[in-house]
Amino acid sequence: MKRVLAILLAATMTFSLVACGNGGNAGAESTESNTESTENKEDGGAGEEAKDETASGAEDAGEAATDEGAASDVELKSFKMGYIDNGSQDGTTTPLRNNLVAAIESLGGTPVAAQPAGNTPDDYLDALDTLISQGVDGVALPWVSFMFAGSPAAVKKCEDAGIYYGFYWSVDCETLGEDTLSICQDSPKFLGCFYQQENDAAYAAMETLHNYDCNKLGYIGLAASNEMQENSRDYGVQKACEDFGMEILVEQRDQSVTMTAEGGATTVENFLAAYPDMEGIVIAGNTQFVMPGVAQAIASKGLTDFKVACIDFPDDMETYAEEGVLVYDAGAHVTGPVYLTILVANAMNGTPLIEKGRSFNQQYIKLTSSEEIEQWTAIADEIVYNTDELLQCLQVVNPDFDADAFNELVLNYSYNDIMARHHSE
Amino acid sequence: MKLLDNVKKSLFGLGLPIIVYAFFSILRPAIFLGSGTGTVYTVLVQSITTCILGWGMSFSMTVDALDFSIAAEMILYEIMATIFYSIGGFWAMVLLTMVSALVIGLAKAFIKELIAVKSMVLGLGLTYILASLGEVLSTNRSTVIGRDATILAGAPYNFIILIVTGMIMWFLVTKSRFGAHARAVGGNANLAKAAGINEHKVNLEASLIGSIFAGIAAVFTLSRGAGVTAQNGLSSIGTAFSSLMCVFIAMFISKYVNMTIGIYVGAVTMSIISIGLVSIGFDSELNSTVTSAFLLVLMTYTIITDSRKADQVRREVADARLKKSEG
Amino acid sequence: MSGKNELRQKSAISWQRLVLKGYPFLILAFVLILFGILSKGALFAPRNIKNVLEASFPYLIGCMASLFIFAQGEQDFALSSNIALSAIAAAAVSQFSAPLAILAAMAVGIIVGCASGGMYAKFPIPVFFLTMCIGNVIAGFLGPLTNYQSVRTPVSFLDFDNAYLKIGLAVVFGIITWILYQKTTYGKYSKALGASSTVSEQSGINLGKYKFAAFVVTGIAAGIIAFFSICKSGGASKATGTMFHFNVMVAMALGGATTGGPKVRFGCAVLGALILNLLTQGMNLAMIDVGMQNLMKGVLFLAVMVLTDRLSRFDVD
Repeated sequence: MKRVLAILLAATMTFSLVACGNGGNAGAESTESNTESTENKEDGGAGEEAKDETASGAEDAGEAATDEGAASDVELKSFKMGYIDNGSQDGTTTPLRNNLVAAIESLGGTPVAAQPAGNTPDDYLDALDTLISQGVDGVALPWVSFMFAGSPAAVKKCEDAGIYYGFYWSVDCETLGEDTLSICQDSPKFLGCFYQQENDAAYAAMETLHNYDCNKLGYIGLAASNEMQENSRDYGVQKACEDFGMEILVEQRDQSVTMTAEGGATTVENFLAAYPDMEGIVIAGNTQFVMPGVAQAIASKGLTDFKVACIDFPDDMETYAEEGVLVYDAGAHVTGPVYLTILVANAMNGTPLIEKGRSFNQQYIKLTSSEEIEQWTAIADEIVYNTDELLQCLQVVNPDFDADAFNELVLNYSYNDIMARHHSE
Repeated sequence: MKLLDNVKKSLFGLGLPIIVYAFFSILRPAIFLGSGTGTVYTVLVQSITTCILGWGMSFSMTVDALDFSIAAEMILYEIMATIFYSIGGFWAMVLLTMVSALVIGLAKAFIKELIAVKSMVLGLGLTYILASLGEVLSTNRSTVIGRDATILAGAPYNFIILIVTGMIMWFLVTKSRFGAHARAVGGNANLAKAAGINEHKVNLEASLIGSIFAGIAAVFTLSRGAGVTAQNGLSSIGTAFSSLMCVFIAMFISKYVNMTIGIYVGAVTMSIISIGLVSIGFDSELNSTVTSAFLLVLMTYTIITDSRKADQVRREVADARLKKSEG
Repeated sequence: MSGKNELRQKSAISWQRLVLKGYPFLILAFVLILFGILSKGALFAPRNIKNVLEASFPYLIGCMASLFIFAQGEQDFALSSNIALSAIAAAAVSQFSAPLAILAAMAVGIIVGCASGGMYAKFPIPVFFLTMCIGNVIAGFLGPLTNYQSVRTPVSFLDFDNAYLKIGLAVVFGIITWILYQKTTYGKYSKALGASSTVSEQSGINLGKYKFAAFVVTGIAAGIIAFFSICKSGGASKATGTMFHFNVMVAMALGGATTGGPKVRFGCAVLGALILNLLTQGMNLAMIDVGMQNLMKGVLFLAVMVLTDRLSRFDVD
């Protein structure tokens, strides 16, 4: 019996290896050029040498490129775009990953992911080291306040390696701090910071609840108030309380509770036990985890006038909207790394779009009614920018695409924009 | 007389949550005394998942080392339950999840048997694997069930689940041969072996029972939360901590009440602390600080008083011997 | 005839000993070869070797320091929180001077270590419970203590994040712990405690100071890890050091120390830390799907445990 089990275990391991091998092939195929590219960079050559490596990006990008006459004539430079993937699977990280990988491949690049060993800043920096050693030409760095306190170190690593870099998620350049910012702003490799206006999203959530006459609220949020006080979700909530005379009765920020659906149910029960006059809840983080439980607890208590407004999109949100519980949600802030990829691809093709990295206001999709939520759900799994659209963001393909056009692209991101581009018929 | 002693002991054991409840009643009387049965009901309902998982953990803790993977196992069963629900509705969800718990529990028990190392490190390896399976099955999404499948979270079904599971636990611990063997193996494996107890069989059964309890906890937890998200790596371990605390409380009051009731008392105490801290507006991050400090003080106090009592007994015995020899 | 048998037996025993002592090296070699092939040699690039060594630094220090606790058959579940608190303290004073930051990190690390060690030595509370509670008490405070923000260090601290400095320090720390563990009564009695605390007690050994000292050593390690963490990441927050103690357990197991006790060898700590980081780095370099990485880690981990278990049955020490 034990022998059989030992064989089974070995078989599982072999299976794992084989299964993993599928993912590994992409890496394996390009490892030789990885090492070359790394060596070049260590000699001090940075991205310029990579320009000599020509590969048909349009070929990689698939048939779609050939649909566009202009695109098919251009030979795109290959590049490697690195990103840090902690393996989390939820309504925000999954679409972000899908959009990023699709964008890299569409623009003729190769996606390179590194999984950090854990969730500490040190682990993220080790993952960045791995990406650099894999010869990436550019890297999209997540700013998750608690996880990536190490922005100065990250900037230094990218500068030393001579690779393009930029941040996404809720951080503007000022937040990097004076010392770090001065390094970034003098560097041609720094692409910028893509941030959402967190305060606006939270303020709008509160305003919507106020419009539903829900003024005494519970707050479920992230453990971090993060580092940009003026652009934090907490700040928006606080400001709305002052402006509309609303009140936060109690908060739940404990990650061990807010990372599970049952934790959501427990939180609502505790809130209502302690504050029976509570009229609604604002969820300013971890919505994708807690929302099913929050909605379930509200439904089981039969509260019809109790409303919830959220930031971050949960799965199945159309159900909560239909039930009349969810009245506002801001999310789909998943395109920051796509924009960084566009900037890297342009730079790699010798047509850098921007001279200096700066802050870009990446938009939230804000849904304020059950109809809007239903409409969004119908297109939520779509890739935001298809191959044709992305290729048109390369100056070598579309000479009219300049810094202003790029800025417009970023600012235009919205539900209507996607509908106009993909569903105009 | 024995009965009276038992009643007295039980009252001591049950006193812990009553003291904690009384403490918060002083701080927020409106919530803890003025809301009718509302707060008590919330406390009792919230303690169910923690309690069932705690019962499941206690077996492995008795015979073997603590098994951290039980939390990842529960999350995996929750994810499987959502899949079964989408295939065949409520009954498929309940029945197939329990069958899966049995099958995966058996596989897990055999792996543990194969490795045969009494170490909590083994649980970490299993956590990696079970969490990864959960990720694969959840296909990159949070998984949810419909409101019709959440019936088990409401009264009276929630309490029926608790009572039935509790009775099974009580039977296994106090009345079954397995319970006696488990205690013997946990106490001294070599002695148990010499007494003809098959240690491997006991270990296997303990692991399997733990898995079945994890399956029950999964169905109930899913009914309460109506959804689940896969957790990668070792991050699920945090889910098991409150159940672990309950087992510790049970060990602390084990002189007064048996493990089955002790773990439930622990779960109820934890729920009261949780609601109490919310009601007095404490920073939610401090929840674990307060609970852990409370337990630490309690445990240290008990140990100090116990050792003083033991010293006193020793002194008395010595004095008596001295007197006897002088006499 | 009997002489021949004896000789044969002796040689079999010496082979078993060799395999038993050397198999963590085989695991290291297996991981190296496997991911060397899967990454098409990228793992052996000098830069990657440097990355592995750098990433291994905190685990090397953590594992080597934990040897004494492991030898006593216990674990320090407060280590992660201790690192976070030490790092926050160091970051808070980092703007004044680097030596002050070092002092703060070490002082906080040692104080927490002393608290755990003191209680462990004084009261017969299960160590697992004790350190978990102490860890939780600290962890809960970290958010409010920092106002839920990162505490930053001056950019100049990045200069301390030097690979050669860290590797050098790990070597020095390794030599000191090796001497303490292998050559002093402290190491010997730690192992004796792990074998049987009752027997040790009855033989008249003052157990308290050895129990206490084990946690002071992890406290010192927490201080060192914390200081280099703030130098590396440019700050500290409540997330610093998260799950570190579990990773130490995983590393020790990968190095062959699946259970605590007197059989825990010094090499387990060093090899375990290296294997753990080679695994992480190797899987990333081999571009293995992120979702599959943990599954693979788990399977390999269990395979190592099976191997350790089977080989330990032949242990002739």
